[in-house]
Amino acid sequence: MRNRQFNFKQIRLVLMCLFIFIGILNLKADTYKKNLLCFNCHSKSIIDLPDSLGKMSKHVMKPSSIIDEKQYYSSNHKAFFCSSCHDKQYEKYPHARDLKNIPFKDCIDCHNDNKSYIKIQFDQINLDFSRSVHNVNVKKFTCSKCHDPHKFIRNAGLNTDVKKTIIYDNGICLNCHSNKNLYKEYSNAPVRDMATIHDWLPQQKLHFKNVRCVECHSKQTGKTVVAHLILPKSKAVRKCNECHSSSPELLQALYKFNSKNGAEKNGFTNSELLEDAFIIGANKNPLLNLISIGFFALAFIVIFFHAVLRFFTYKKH
Amino acid sequence: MEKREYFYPIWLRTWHFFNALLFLVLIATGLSMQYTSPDTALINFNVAVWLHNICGIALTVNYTFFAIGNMITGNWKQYMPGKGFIKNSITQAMWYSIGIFKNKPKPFAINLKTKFNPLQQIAYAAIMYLLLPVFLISGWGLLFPDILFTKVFGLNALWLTDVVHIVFGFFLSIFMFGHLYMNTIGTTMTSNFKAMKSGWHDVH
Ligand code: HEM
Repeated sequence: MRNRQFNFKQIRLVLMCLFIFIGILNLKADTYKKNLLCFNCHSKSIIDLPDSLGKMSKHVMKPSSIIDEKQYYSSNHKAFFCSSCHDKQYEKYPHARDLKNIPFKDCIDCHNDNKSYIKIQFDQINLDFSRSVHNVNVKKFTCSKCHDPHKFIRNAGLNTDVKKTIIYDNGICLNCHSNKNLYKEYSNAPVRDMATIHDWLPQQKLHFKNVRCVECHSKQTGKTVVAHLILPKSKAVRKCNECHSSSPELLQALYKFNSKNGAEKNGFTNSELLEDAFIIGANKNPLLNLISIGFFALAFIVIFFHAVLRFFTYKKH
Repeated sequence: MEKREYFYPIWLRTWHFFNALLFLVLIATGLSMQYTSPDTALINFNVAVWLHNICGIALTVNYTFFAIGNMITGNWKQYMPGKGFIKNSITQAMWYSIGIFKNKPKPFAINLKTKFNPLQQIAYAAIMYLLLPVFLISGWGLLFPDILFTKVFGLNALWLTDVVHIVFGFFLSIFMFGHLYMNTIGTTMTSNFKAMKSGWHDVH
């Protein structure tokens, strides 16, 4: 039998793994501990705050300042300290009044140039956004208005369940567009009922369940995962056959993630659409098409020759 | 001597007229939608959808009228294949493909009791009592997609309905062209069409 003694190298490897593991745990614990200082107040709607004389009084937290701790720690940014994005001076409490004038870190500050984000094309997103109605018509609109960094979970392109992506992405729009109070912060116009302003859309419920708002309300420009050039209302897709045809617009957007499955499956074009939703008019079967044209041709040839033969063999009794 | 008999009462002719008219519009609009794209469309897409829906509903109403009329008047019996219909159909088919060119007389005499030859009988019965009902139901399924089941045997039900609709629509279109041509094989080229217009058909 061979002697199964560990050699030094093996022990070193095990120890190294252990240290890294503990390190990660520690880092997590560290983030958690440090962020807890902020969450102590920022996860509550009413807090005790000292006034100028040091007397404690109840203070209502602004809705936008309340962060759901649980959601934060399941978001993509969970490993970050609050002060990774918010100014370090916020760590002091009570916060200095003039801190409000210090701008937050911009998403692009981190997300730009980073090689691991190349696929997402943040530069293009930034460019599209700058021309979007959200930037042109609304003051102080930023990425985080839609992609709350405290909650954000990257979904599009990763989630194989298209239905989930639809619910998630539409939730982003509806968060403002069906919320009176929030909408007021950005626009003087009253928020309008989505069902009412889309009442021209046939099969509204089915559409809302199976496509995202951005499918019709944005323009796909570059190779970004999700189009960010939100169009003015007058330029939204209204032609049914932009989707309901053999070259559906929708394939460029929502269902393009499934496109890698191959454009044809079971003989049907645009078959990725078949998997989750079926769009009338978007799926053609080239074989069936060919057979049907063949049948028609055959029928006409038979009729033609029958007629010709009849003509030449006809005798009047 | 040619004799004439009243084959097609006014209700049947009315049904048939609207049936033919609606079919033509449905085929035109259906094909236009099938091969549409945002920039080119035979008929404007929204108009085509609207017309197709309206005509489809009208066709269903018209079909119900036909089914009830057929039941009440006993015209349905004309569609029932009789004894030896396979043999008789072959005889009829042989006449269409050979006999007709030798100027042989039609193998089956028609009269008020049997208006159709055996092939007509099978074709009309299949079309009117099998293909057309399924076709109409599939059309209503596409008109109200939210009432459909989502899956049938693991397949997307809407997709299945759509395929049925297109395949059946294709067969019905082929039938119509065949039907048009076959109707030229009467006493004269136009006599069957005249019969469908007036109701009076030549019998031998
Ligand atoms: C432009 C289109 C059409 C024309 C010109 C046409 C013409 C005719 C003619 C001339 C007849 C009398 C046949 C005979 O006397 O032997 C007939 C009968 C008939 N056609 Fe058509 N047809 C058309 C479309 C259709 C369509 C689309 C259908 C069904 C889907 C149909 C179903 C029938 C049936 C069931 C009969 C027998 C009616 C009965 O006596 O109970 N036709 N058609």
